[in-house]
Amino acid sequence: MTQIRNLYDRMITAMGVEDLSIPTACVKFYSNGDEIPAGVREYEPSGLTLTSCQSTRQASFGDSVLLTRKSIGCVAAAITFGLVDRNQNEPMGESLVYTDIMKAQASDKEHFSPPTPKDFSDGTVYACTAAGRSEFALFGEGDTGRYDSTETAKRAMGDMLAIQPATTQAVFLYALDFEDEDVEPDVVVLSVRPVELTRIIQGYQFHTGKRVNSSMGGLRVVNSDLIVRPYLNQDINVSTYCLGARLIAEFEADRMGIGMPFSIYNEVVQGMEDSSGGFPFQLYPGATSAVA
Amino acid sequence: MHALAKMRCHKMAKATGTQLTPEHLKVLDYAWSYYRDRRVGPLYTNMHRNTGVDRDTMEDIFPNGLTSVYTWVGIPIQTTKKGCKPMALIEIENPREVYFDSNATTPVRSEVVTALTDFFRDSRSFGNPSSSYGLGGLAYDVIDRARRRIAKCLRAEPAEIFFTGSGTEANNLAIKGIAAKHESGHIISTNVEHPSVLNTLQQLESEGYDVTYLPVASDGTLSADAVAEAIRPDTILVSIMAANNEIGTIYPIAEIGAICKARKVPFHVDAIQAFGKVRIFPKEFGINILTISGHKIYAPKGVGALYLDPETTLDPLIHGGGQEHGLRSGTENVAGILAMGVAAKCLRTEMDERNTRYEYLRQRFLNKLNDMEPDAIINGTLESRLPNNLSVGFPGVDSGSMLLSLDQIGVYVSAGSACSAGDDDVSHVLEAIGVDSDHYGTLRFSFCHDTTKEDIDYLFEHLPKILTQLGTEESEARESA
Repeated sequence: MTQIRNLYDRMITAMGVEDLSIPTACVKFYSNGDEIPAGVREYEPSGLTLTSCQSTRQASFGDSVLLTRKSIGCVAAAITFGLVDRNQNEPMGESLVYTDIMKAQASDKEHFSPPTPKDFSDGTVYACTAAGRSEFALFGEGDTGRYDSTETAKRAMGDMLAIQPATTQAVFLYALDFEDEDVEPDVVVLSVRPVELTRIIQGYQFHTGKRVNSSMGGLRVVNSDLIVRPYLNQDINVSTYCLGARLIAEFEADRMGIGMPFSIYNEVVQGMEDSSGGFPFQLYPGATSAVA
Repeated sequence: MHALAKMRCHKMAKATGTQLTPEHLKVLDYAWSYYRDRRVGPLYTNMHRNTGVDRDTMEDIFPNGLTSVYTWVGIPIQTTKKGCKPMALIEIENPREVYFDSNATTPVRSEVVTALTDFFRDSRSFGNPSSSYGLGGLAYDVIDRARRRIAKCLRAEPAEIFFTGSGTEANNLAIKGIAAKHESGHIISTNVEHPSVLNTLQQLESEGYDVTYLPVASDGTLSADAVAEAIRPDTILVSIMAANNEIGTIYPIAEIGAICKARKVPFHVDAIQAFGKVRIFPKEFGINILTISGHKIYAPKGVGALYLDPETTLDPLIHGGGQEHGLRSGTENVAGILAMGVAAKCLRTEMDERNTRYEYLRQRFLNKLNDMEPDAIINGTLESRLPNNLSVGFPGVDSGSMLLSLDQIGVYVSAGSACSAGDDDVSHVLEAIGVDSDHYGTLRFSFCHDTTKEDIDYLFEHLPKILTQLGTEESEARESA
């Protein structure tokens, strides 16, 4: 049994609801120059690209994915993860999820040019309507864009943490039971219902007394708020899911995310075990309704 | 798996030349169910754990590994593959349905529909033609009239026409019927025959018969001299098609017939594609057995026929009540035979006019093709070819992707070869004429009686966009030009 699986099982046991399932994904960053183990490298998908939110969801169902500049299907996540320079003025590739949606709606498809990372960083993609870049719309003529102006978009992006300059070689999103290689996660991401989040926070506070931060945005939630923010700040972050996580990866309506560094996950689990007598999770309304 | 998804998988398998095995179906079924429940696709770990199929095997058995699996079951993906994208997506303001696949089958023509409607409405039409009372006689007369109509097309006697259940059955009867007269022997055919001939010959080979498959030239043609040279003292049959079903090449049947007649070797002609488009008169051409099919001439499926000259005898394949003079037992498909007779009669009177129109349409097609894609190739000669057929090789594009893309806009064609760009499973005809299937994706366009120039214009209005979206190097060059 892997260390992370052991921690997860202890967490579920501490919650006192048999067969409760909390979708969990592990994340490991490989910087430029790091050696990626062969048993990890073989999980880079061949021939298709995946977004970070899709991969996170897939990892929580038992699959593992190595995302590189070649296999990541989302320009924004590539910027966040540090797989591409935020000011790169060339498109990343031919077929990525949002750029394909844009192309499908563009009035002049034959001359459509996918947005570059710089187009994202300049705010012209997210504020496409205000910027007069209707080819970057996602929802047709009535699309307001994601922000009302490029300035607002840039301000929002300024608060989205990202690994820049781009120094990341690959990001491995993997399952609790992954044991082809001995990999310790940098970050653990859980997809929780509010009732489960309550109990997790109670466990974290039992020994630390610390409050839990929640820095939320409406975009780049999985890659930035739930993965890179905990990774860079070495702290827990809670956020609801974003546009892509809801529409592309189709996270369920009653779930939100919590990301934390692996070391903190240890503390959380320990706290939940030690506080189980004080917080009868199984009595919380709805606690048992998500049991498989 | 949902029936629609299953149908799509079979369609994609066919388009990519993939023979579906239980292993394929296990993977596809699992992927479909997984996506239905979780809204993301399964990856290698879950696939292996739940189906036993690992990544290497999956990449071996599907043309593009996981990408194919997702595409086939309808899981939305973004792919980095350029060579075999699933399909282009074209928005059409005024869609129309265009049928360019009449070498595969034809719609039932209105005269046939009328005849069948009258037949089925007649409360006295249901009789068994073998019955000796009046109702049986009526059914017998229906068959007899159809027999006379088909005989007239072939300048044959009605008694020389025998009905079967399909063209394939007729071909089997012709070849096996001759072979059964000999314990062993040598048969001559070509390497571009229809599977109903090739597979029958292969079966006979496994039973000890010797078969020579004559190679055709790079333009698909065959010289009659090659047949003459191949005949041996022990040759019991020459079986050569009148026109090829994929590339439309017409073979020198009269010349070959003369050779066979002089060498006293029975000559079978599969005329299933040619009948109604090319004049073939067995007696004048030295043909002993000739086979045709109803659904290639605007009659329904389920009926074929065989011309047999009185000097040639065949052993029947099906034994029973002795219908069709003992050559093909089984109560006749009276309605199907009626339909085939009506369709044959119509074709006999309108063949020349129709062929002239096909030639006009084909030239229009070729002109537009040349304007759009000068590097496209035409497989097979244009000199001696069915007037309604074109087999086109598009450079650097996958034929399966093109077929599905055209399907989306209502244009129905056949892939002349399976997923041609880089796949191994190539049509035996294209292989025989040496088409570079690594570089060309082939589609077969075959016009039918109601094809119009507007149909061709519609195709060429949208084909450039499809080629561009499918991302061929050539189309990118065209786009930037």
